[in-house]
Amino acid sequence: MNFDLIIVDDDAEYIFFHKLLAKKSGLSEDPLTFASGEEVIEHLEKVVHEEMNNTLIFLDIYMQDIDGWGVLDYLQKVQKHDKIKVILITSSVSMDDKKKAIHYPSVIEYIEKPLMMNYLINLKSQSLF
Amino acid sequence: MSEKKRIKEAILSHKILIVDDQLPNIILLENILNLTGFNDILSTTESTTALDKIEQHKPDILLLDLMMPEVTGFDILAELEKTSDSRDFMPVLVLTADTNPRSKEKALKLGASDFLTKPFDISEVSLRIQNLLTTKFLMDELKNQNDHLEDQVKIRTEQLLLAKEEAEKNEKKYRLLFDANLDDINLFYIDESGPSNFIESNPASESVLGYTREELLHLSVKDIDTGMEDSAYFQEKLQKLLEKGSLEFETIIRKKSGELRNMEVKANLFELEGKTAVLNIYRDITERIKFIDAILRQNRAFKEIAWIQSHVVRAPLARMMGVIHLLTDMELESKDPELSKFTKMILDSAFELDQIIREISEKTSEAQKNQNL
Repeated sequence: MNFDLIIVDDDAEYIFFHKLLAKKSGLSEDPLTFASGEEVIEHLEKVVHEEMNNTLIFLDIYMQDIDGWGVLDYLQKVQKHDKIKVILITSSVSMDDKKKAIHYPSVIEYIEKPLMMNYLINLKSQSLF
Repeated sequence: MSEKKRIKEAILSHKILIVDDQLPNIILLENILNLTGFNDILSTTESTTALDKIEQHKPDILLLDLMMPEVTGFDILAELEKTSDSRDFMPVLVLTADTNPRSKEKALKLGASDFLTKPFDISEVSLRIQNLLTTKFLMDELKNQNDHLEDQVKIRTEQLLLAKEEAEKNEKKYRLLFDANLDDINLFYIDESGPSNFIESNPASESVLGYTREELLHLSVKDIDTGMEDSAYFQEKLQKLLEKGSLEFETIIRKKSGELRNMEVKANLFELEGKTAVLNIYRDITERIKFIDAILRQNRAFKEIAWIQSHVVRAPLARMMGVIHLLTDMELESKDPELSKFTKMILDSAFELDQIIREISEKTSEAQKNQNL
């Protein structure tokens, strides 16, 4: 794959589960994982200002303190939509959340949990970057 | 036509009755009068028919001989005197050869207007008759004018009476509105220095404010409206009230018991006895505000429950569903057919739960939209 995968979720079991699916589907051998919005922003802050790898983020929306929206707002400021793409993976079934997500150009997909293996296998065959 | 000519013509058209037992006298008088220009002249030598003739023809002037057989001029004068109240003024010119002052005095007392002494002098007869008729004409006109004025006064009095009745009816109607109103209504004067004491309050003031109407006469809005503690509050309200003529606002009043109540106030500016006055209507909305608060609180709780449903409850459910899918993918069912049945049952139940959560989430979202409208 021509990108690095980052998984952000404040639920450790989802991190475990999504990491497992990513490996099993062959999407990523060793994804980076973060348990909060702050952590992933801190990491991105270190790399975005230089030549960086293509990065796909599995982003949970509802987390403590800086949530998924906070991370998306950060990405708006950074303006690296060709380098960083986001798939929102949330337990929310709220229509308002879906409508809100559309307005962020970095978001390429909105997925209601659970994340399915078949989806990731399909994703492999698409050229995301 | 000049006024003099008008009077002259009116006089000449007057009706004259001559009563004299001597026919030559009558003929002489008729001739003099005809020459003067009169042409409505009646006469009789029968003094007994004189009163009937007066009744029947209603002459404007009577020329009456005193010395007549059977019924004398005095008898006729006496009779006329008795009924004079019910008749228009009719001058009586007494014709007499008697120069005795006592009989003249007697005739005057009985209502005679003037005397003509026989033998007649032509110009004197004409002049005296015309003078008497001029007097009568002017008196009649005065009486007509008086009657007209009296009529006017009567009509005006009736109109005033009607207007007064109407005003009383209105007063009664508005008084009822004032007295029967469930909202407290207070009246007071107002100027730059502030509000006067209340000048009138309706019975509802007792239940709304806790003060009797008599107690309120010694109080002003300063004593009941807690907003008045801030001096800018009164100036701001007064400014708006003067601009618009009426003002609606909410405030908190302190009842006699010290209890604080939320009030909706409608203030109306009007003029009373040359001064600027305000009519304030207070409606207690404390309960209404409590209800609205309760509804808002419940809405917040409702929203929270919906959020928990859609996010918190669904998170572990989605996790379960993901893991079961994974188990299915690992083809565990091929090792044990019953296990496959179990995983299907768990998965179906999870989907069912998921469906319920989605429905709740959708309904909340709809309710939220309606509320925002």
